[in-house]
Amino acid sequence: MANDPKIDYDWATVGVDALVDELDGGGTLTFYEGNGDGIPATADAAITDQNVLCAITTPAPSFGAGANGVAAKAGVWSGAVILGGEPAFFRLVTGTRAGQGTVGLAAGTFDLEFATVTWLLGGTVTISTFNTSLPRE
Amino acid sequence: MTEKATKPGVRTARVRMGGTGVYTPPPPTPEPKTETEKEKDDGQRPKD
Repeated sequence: MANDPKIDYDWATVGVDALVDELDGGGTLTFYEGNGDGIPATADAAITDQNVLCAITTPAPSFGAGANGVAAKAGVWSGAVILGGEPAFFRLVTGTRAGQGTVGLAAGTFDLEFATVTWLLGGTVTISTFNTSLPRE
Repeated sequence: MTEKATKPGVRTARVRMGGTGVYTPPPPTPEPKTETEKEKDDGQRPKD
């Protein structure tokens, strides 16, 4: 039989709490354009020449306690667009920890979605929902 | 998030991160006043 590991809800919650506890002191959610080297293959890969469109300082703590393997953002996550463009990916960073996801037009296919992805200088980006989760089965 | 490759056939747990956001455009910049509007404004100034 093929490998098919599973963890329960409680264990997923323990794991996700450990992840988001790294952001108890806050972090930075940065939106990048997909120019130049484009979307990095991993969250470990260095940002090279991709343009920064918006950088949001997330509050301390940035997430609430996990439940059923899911932790939701806490507080207000909002920031100004500092360079007009179309976001392609984000990095959520605290210290040396980094998470990365894709950004795009709301269609259920990107990690972080917006109804508008043509951002102009001086606009405002506000995160409505942001969850970190581990699979639980 | 990128799923790290392991041995073929081995399934790896995958963290998910994301949600939804709202972009609000900047307020429109007021257009410069025409000469006619400037003259009109001058005429409305209170006299000393």
